[in-house]
Amino acid sequence: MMDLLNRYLYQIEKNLPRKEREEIINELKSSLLDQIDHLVEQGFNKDEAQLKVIKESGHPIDVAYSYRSDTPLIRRDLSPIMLTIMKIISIVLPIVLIISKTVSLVFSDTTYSTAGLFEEILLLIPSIINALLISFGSVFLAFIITSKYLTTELTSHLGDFNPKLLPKKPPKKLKVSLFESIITVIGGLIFIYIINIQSHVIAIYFDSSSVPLLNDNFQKILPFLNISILFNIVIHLFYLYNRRKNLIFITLELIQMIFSGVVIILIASLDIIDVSSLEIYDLGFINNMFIVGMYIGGIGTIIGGIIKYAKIMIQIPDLEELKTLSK
Amino acid sequence: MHEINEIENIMKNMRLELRKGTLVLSVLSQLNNKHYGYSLVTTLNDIGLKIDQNTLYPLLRRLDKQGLLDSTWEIIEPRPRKYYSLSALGIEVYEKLKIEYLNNHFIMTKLIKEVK
Repeated sequence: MMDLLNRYLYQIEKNLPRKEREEIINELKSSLLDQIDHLVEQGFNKDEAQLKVIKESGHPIDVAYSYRSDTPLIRRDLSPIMLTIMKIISIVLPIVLIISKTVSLVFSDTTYSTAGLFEEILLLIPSIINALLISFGSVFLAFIITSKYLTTELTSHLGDFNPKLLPKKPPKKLKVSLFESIITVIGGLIFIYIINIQSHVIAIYFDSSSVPLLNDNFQKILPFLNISILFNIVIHLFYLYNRRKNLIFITLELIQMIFSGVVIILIASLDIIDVSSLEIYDLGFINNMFIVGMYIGGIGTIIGGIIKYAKIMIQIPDLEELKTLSK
Repeated sequence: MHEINEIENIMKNMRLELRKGTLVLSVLSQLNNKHYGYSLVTTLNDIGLKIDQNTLYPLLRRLDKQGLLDSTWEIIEPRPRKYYSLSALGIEVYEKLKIEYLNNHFIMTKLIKEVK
């Protein structure tokens, strides 16, 4: 029942200076509970009282900004928009840079070893940081200028706020599925072993003889596949060690999933199956099936990763609450 | 003839400014006794000074930081509350501010009467 109050306090907390958060929130919570008690004594039921007190207390951003003595460079009605834009940039920009680099490496003439490729990706980090700094700086400047010269207050969204639509508090501790992580690590290691050292077992077996299925193009994509799987293994090793997920690793997981999605799509487009050996047995259709399957798998991995991430990040209010609102 | 809205707008701002200066004094005046945030809101409200928590709490924090108030968390049922009262420095400042205000009040009264 105190869920709504906690959600409200969380939205205030997010906009307070970090050092003072705990103290201010404790005091506010104590006071809001006092007010709720006061209304309950007057005959309100608890839920009504809570809603009324939150509404009267005002929009979370207004409350948070009342604790600021300095004049902020970014206007209070603009700052949540700016923060959202910066969050999106900090996720999308690295992903776009990594993917474009990967694609350009795959289609370059040189064939990279796994270590060489790893080095290429490490070298990408400074340019990612550089790009992030430039984008953050530009966004910040744009918002300072907008704050200065935009005269219309965007207060309409601050003025009448609906407490029931307050976003959920994101869970601090996200549980790790031990089973999933162990399977991922072991499966990943086995897969790496097979594709790197025993790739000849991926073959067509017929009458005690076998014809290798993969051609030389596979060697070109192999390092990318290795890195994608190693990346995933590292993430899950961290989960096994730490026993809980945190925001950084959830974001890394998103980047990993998009990266492996791209690698899978590249596999589909590179003709890695030796079609001539398939045609001996009149099995040419397997190649087509494989390609279609890989495209679907790659796109599915990317979409799945984004949905998984969005589900954790965007705390959409319960459908139930939305229903009661529309009545 | 001026629009009523226009007058009301101007008055709103002036009332706010007039109040701003006296708000600290009003709060200090009540903190000879220990108060927690909500009890101070209700006390001031009962006397006739409407003040909302988003104005009062930041003000209390500011005065606390300046050393004019002593604050302690006390755990009394049903919940912990942060209590404020005047510190030694606060008492001194309050006495001086009070004299300032009474002096201003005296001059203002005279000025307003002269105009009449």
